[in-house]
Amino acid sequence: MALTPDDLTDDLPLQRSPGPTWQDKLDEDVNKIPEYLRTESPYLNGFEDIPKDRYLSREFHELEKERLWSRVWQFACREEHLPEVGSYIVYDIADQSYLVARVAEDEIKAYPNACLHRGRMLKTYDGRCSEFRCPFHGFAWTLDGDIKHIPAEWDFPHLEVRSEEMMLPEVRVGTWAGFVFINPDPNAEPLEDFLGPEVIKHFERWNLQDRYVAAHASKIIRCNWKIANESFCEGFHVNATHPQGMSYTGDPQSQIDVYGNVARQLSPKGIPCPLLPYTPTEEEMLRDALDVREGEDLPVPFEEGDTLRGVLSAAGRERFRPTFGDGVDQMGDSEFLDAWVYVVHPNFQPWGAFNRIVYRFRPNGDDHETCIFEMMYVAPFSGDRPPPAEVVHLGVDDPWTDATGLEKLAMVAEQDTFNMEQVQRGLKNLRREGVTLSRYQESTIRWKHDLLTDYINRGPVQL
Amino acid sequence: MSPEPSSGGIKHGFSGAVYAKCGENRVKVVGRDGTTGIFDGIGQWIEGELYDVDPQMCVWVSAERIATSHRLSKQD
Repeated sequence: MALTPDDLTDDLPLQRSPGPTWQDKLDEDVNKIPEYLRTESPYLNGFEDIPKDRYLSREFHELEKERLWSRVWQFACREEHLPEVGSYIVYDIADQSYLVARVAEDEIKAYPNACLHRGRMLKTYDGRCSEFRCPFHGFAWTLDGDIKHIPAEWDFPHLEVRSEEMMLPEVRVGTWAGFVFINPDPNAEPLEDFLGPEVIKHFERWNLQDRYVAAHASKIIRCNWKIANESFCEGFHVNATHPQGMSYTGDPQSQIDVYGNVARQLSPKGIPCPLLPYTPTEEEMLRDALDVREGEDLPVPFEEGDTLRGVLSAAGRERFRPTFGDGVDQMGDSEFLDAWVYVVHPNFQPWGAFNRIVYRFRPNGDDHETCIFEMMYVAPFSGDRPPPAEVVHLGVDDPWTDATGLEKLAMVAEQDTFNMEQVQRGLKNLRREGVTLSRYQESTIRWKHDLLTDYINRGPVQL
Repeated sequence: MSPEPSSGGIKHGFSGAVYAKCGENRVKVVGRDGTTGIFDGIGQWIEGELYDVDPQMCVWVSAERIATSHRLSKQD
């Protein structure tokens, strides 16, 4: 029976892709994951289009500055980027800049990046210091934010009676899994509450705090930050954007879960895309997964009866054994091969399990039509902690493959990036007011916009 | 048709056409019916009797090929 507009409510039964699900593959795996990682929490909230102005209009960008970036927990750096007392980074978001510094062995603070005398930015690059001294007139603050030096103090009698105004104002700081977050809103909920107990429990298993930044690249893209971000919030695009991956990636079979401010998309490997007109063999799937082309040999042993899931999970387990020891044998096959894409509102994607991948998306300064897209690997290590990788800064026309540390993932990102600028341009031609989302596969994008709406509707931050 | 592929091809899952890099920013595509075409790295037609092509497959095949796979890397 044909649907009518009245049928379009959240009571309409949820349909999933034909073919086996991620849960079905988990049942077949030799090494299982714990049940708490298998829970399902789909997100349904209507069928409305997303207004295109959210990507195009300057006014919406201004609202995001006033009501989102000013009050949301946001990933600033890794703890390892602040190895010593006095280590600091400059974290920029839209037109705002913050100093994030290790002020004691076990304490990190963040301050708006401005001298309280005439407003010059105190720091413009990352480094290490014993004080924050302004290069303009020489006002200086301790790492703790106390005023330390007022040049020609005799000429500032008014500051003697307003000394509390001369402390660097603090911005909220939280840490989780080795990631340092800031929140400019003094009334923000604690980071732990923002992330929620389910997600914190999931990540406890993977020890991301005991990893290091093994690769890090940053690229300017000619699109709004949300266009870049949302490119990685659904697997639906694989059949067209990554056609070489259709044989082994069951992205339409992905499971999507939402836990408050965090969502996740679990995309199984070893299931062909159901849109394919043929059924690939396990060896064909493995060859495609490893980009083995005609006339080339597989770089891993493969025998009759082997499966992609078996081969890649075994390879992954051995890869991590030197750092995790035999604990890898307690981990599920899925944790070594499937895509565990966690999406932390609004712009941060630390992949779970042993994928190592981290994404961050930010406006490029105060420009709402370009953005900064960063990719990192956070990898386990043995022995002393290696220093974090230097950032490879890529310009708008530089290929991701210039960042060789990203390995073949750079080639994948090249295809995703090929779409982003064209979405920004295409939206200006679109003769509709909004973009349409699929109900389930793109539900993470709906969830993101619903949260964004919630932040916008709260009005300006009360300082 | 020249130039010849400089790396092994990849068969497209939908069309069955085989895509192979054939020099800097060039991709040779051989359709299931044997027709061929040369395209640039974003799928713009250069020459040949084959015109329809998947630009994303051209992006993939023409990209600087990185030997190490993030699925097998030993970097950690």
